[in-house]
This record gives sequence, C-alpha cells and structure tokens, in this order.
Amino acid sequence: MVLLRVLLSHLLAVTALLQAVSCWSPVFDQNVSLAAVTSSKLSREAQFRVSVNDDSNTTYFALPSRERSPVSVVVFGVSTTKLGYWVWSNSGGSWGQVGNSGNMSFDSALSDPELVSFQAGTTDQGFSAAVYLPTLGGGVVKVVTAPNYSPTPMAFAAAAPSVLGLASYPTGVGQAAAYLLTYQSSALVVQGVAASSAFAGPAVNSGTQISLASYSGSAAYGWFAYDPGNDVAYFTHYALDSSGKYTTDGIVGTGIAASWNRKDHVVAFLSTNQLLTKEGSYYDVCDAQGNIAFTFPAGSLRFAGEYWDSDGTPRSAFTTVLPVEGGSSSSSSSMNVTIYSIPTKSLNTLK
Amino acid sequence: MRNFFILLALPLLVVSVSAQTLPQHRVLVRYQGLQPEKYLPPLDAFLTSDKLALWVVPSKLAVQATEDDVIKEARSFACDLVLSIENADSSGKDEVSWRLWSPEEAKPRVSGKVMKERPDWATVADVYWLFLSKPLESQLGPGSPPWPKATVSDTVEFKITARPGTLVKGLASGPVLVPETGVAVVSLAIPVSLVLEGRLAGWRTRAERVFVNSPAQAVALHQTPLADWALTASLNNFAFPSFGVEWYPNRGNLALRAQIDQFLGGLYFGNQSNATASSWPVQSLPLATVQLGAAWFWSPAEEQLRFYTAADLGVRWMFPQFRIFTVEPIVPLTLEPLAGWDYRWTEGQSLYFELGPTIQWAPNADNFRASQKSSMVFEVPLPGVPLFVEFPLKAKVGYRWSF
Repeated sequence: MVLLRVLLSHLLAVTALLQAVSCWSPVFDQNVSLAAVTSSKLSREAQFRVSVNDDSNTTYFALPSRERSPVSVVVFGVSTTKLGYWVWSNSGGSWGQVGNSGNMSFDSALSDPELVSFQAGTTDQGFSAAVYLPTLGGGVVKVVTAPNYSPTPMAFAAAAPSVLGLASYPTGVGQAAAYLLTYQSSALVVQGVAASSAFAGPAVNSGTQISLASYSGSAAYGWFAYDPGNDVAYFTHYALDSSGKYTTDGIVGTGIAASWNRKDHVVAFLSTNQLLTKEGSYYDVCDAQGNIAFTFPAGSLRFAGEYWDSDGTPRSAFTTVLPVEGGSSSSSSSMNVTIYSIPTKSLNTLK
Repeated sequence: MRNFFILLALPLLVVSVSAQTLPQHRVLVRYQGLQPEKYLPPLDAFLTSDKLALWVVPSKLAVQATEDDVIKEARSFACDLVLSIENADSSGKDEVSWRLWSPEEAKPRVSGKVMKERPDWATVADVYWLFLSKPLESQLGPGSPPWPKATVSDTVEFKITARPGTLVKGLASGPVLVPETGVAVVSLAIPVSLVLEGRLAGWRTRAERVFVNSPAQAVALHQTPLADWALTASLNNFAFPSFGVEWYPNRGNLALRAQIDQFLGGLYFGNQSNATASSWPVQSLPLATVQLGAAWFWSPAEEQLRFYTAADLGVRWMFPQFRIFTVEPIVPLTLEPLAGWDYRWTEGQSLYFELGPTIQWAPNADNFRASQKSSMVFEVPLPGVPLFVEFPLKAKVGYRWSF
C-alpha cells in the first residue's frame, strides 16, 4: 500500500508537470466561434484558400467586389509596417489569383492595423479598392487599382485635402462609390468619389458642407458613415473620451443633429436607413438617433459593404479570413477566405 | 502520450500491491538474556518484515519456565513455530544462541550460535538480527519443508453480529451470510486468529482482527451506510476549477453525475500574450462545458483506494462579454471516457484523480483548426465523422465530499 501511494504521488507530480509545461487551455477562439454563430444564418457565396506571407502580427481581411458576376475578391494583409493585397477572381467556377501587390512597406508603423475601413468597386474596366487606416498619417486614404485585373503598383490618394473618414454606400453605376469626409478651408466637406476614378480624382458631387464654427466637435480623424438620401454624415472620433467611450456625431449642414457616447463606432449607413456600428466582437444596428435596434455577434466576421443583387435587392456582404492550420491567425501560410451575404432587410434575423 | 502509458500501468500496480499475502506462520518468540527492551523491538521488526512475514507472539513466561511450558504457551496462541533465543555476555560481547523449532517436533529444525559486537543501538538496530535471515528463509521460504500445523485445543461457537445479508469472509470454513437475526454463529477450532471482512451493498464494513481462544466469544462488525450524494471540486488539467454533483442510486457502485467545467477563471503559466493582459498567471475564457455522465466503481467500498471508470457527455456553452449565451458552435459536444482513482482518507472525504481523452465533435473541421492555439490535436480516423482528440489528456485532481 505504501508503494502504491508513492507511485500514485509520483504519477500526480509527473502529470502536473506535463500539464503545467503545456500551459493548457481548451481549443476555443471567441472570434471564430462568434463568427460561426452568425455565419450559420448567412448564405455562403464562395470559399477559397489563399497562400499568404508567413509574417507575424499580420491581420487579414477580404473585400468582395460589388459586381457579383464575375465576383472578384481582394484580400488585404496588414502588419505593423507593411500592407499587401492579393486579387482573386472566380472564372468558370474555380478561383484563381489574378494579381498581387507584393509587400508595401511604410515608414511609419501601422500601429492599429485592425482598425480598417474599406471600400471596393468594380467597373467594366477593372477593379479598384481603398483601405483606410485611421492611425496612418492622420487618416490618409490608400488606394489600390488593378485595371483589367492587371496588377499595378499601389497608388496613394493625396493627403490634401485632409481626409477624416471614408464611407461606402451601394450606389448605381456612375454614382459615387465612396464618400470622403474631408477638412477643407475651415469646413467639413463630404465628397463622393466614383469607382472609376480610383479615388484619386475629383469629387463627383459634394454633400454636407458645414463650417467648423457650426461644428463643435474636433476635426480629428475617425470612422465615417454617410446617408446620401438625407445628407447626414455620421462620424465617430477615433479618440476616446474621459470615460473610455467613443463620441459619435450625426452631422447635417447646420451642425450636429445627434450625438452619443458609447463603446461602439460607426461602420456603414445601410440601405434600410439604419446605421451599422461595431462594439468589440458585436455589430449593432441603430436608428438615425443612435438608438440600438438589435445586436448580432461578429467575431472574425467582417461587414464588407452592401451590393445590389440581380433582382435589385440590397444585400450585405460579410467575409472571414481564417488560418487553415492552428495557431494564431498570423502563423499560418494559407488562409481560408469565405464570402457570405444576407438581404440587408433580414439583418434582424441575426440577433 | 506518456500519460497514456502511465494510465495503462496504474491498474497493474493496484493489482500487484493488493495481492500481498497474509502471514503463513505464527511464531512464539522466547528471548532470554541481555536487555530484552532493546533487543526485542528490532527482532520483532525483522520477523514481521515483508521478507519473512511472520505473525509474532512474544512469550510471557518467566525465566525458569520449562520447555513443556513453552509448548503449552505456543499451543494456546496457535503458534506453529517457536524461536528460542539466549543472549549472554561473553567478555563484553554478545553470545547469541538460537533455535527454530515446532511445538509438535522433538528436535529443532535449525539452530546456531554467533558472537557479535555489543551494538550501538542508535545506528545498528536495523541490521543486528540480519544474521538470522538466511537460515530462517531456508526453513520458511518457498520450497522449504512443510511445518506441522498448530495443535487445536478445542472447538467453540463464535458469534458474528452484522446487518442481515452481510457476507462475512475470512473464516477457514468459507464465507458466511449473516441471517435475518443479524447474528451468524460459526464453529471455530481454537485458538485461531481471524481477519474478518464484510460485504453488504450500500454499507461499508470495517475489517476486524480477532483472536479467538475461549468459548462464548463474539464480534460485532462495524458498518456504516454509504453516501447517497457527493459534491466534487477539482482542478481541470491543473488550470481551471470544476464543480460537480454525484448521485449513487441505492448507494451502489453506480454514480450518475453532473459537472460544470468552467473556463472563466483559471491558472496559466505560459506566454501571457496568449491569455490575458494580466501580470498574474491567470486566464479567462467565456466558455463552460456542462456534462452529464456515469461512473462505475470497480473496487469494493471497503477499500481505501477505489478504482473507477466514467464517461461524460458534455455540451459546450459560450457567453462572450455576457451579451449572448449559446451553444459553442465549433465544438458543441464532447465525450470523455475516464479512469479514476478515489483515495478516502476519512469517512465521507476523499481525494480523486481522473485521466482520459476528450473526444471533441467539430462539425466544421476548418473552423476547429482555425480555433486551435496551443494544444496538440489529432483527428480520429472515422470517415464522415469529424472527431478530434486533444493531447495532453484531460487530467483532474479533486476533492469529493460524500454525504
């Protein structure tokens, strides 16, 4: 009996050592699980696998083109000092890479690369997309163009006029594909940009324009969403207030029509005349006053803009980019890209 | 993988250690001469050690007792052996004469005389009597000639009191079932030493050692009811506290149990960048597994260390930021077959250890691999059924309070 006790105590000690060394935690990633909860209610449009640079601390996100036939997808990879993209297209039912950027290095660190707004548009001539990095250079828009799917070097929008935010809205051909919130001559100005202009050309229309005297908020950069029908700019300041919350303003031509302090920031203004915001791992859908109508889990699932389907119904696109093998999302050399969608009016089924 | 082999080896150890035999011989030790208070304790320890495994009865006869007196004394204690030792002073040394003999035989089987230095008891007590080891082993060890049985002086009735239905083991005539009266009467040839063990479903019977050498002796077996319920608290993989409740239908060997493996608070000794930002060795995940299962105790309730096996079916729940509460979709179900050992140190309280694989059902294998961070995970080769097993195996060490 004594021998048994000694052996059992040794067994316990050895097992404890093994477990302690392994630093065990269960197989669980909150963001993957939350994405799975919501994606199970979405239509899966496409899935393909991309090879990526095995670079540490890289965040990946995918952006499908608004045009769905054929559909193209740009996959961005953002690390602390680099940004790259891969353009994929579906031809005849199979996915293939049609271009890539290589690694674009930046002098300044992309200190907060997960905070990315994005916009894509497809024209008859090719593909263009924009990525917005609020921490880089005070909110400079970076533009990628790939006419005729032929990869070209990444082009950058001019830093002036100062861009405070980038917003998307599912408009028709010839209308603005994206809206910029800019700071020009002591005034906040919303500018619409055509997709074909590759975001570098002049504004095709001008929306809200208010003088800074009428706008009591600061002109710092942040997240921006635009309601073109009512000409309202929703702007969440990147800086937190003293209570650790974001300040979001609903701005009209005469000043601030609504303002609220919460932990969410704006993402997009939807065709349902509702505002989509994000707080941590969840999306909120709010009315124009910022009142939350419902919430649904997001995790690794990213809203990727609205588009019109073939019968004219607005749909919301979502994407996930997940590592094929275990480990952190940055240590896998290939990623699974999945595109989902749902009619925007049915977003409330996700709650 | 090492855990797996340890798991396989442990039941063998339990069996081998449990298989120790009781002493085969009762020896009457008659010591005469120098300082018995110093020489006898190490002699007793030597004779009862695992090597010889003798049942020792010290002689209480006076110095002037005759050999017939010794034979009578041996028979009264049912001793089949007598070890006579005379220790005399010889110019400052010990002159030790000894002989091993049977009360039923005229001559000693083996004897001898040795001269030994007077021992320094602080250092040589354990080795002083080792010179007896070889000759005694030659007469008592495997293959040695048989010894006459101890002479029986009488046959008496012996009463055993226990709850009706108790099966009493340890009698030469075989097991006895206690009748409805609660008293079993057996005939015994005395003198005899007994180790009585009882078995009754739902009750724990304490083993009793009794020496029967006169008529009208009786023994009452002490029996306590087994627990209906138990509460458990354990450390899951030495990291996360878990809690559970167990129910024993009819206080039997079957346990139906429910547990919650929570991951909201646990220990973590790895790279903190993978866990929380805290400088403390802790981690927190918005996850819990609720398990229902059953266990079967293979060892009798009387054993201090009981072996059992169990199987638990678990549903994983998640509650990120406490904004939703839903079944975790990546691994919604788990199955855990376990082997366990329960060590009872006092009535109603025990420590336990469980070890086994966690079989995880992952409907979407791609999402499962994307969720995997540090553990080694192997896919079970079952076509069409996405099952994964994680290493290291799940280990739980815990406390069980039975009532």
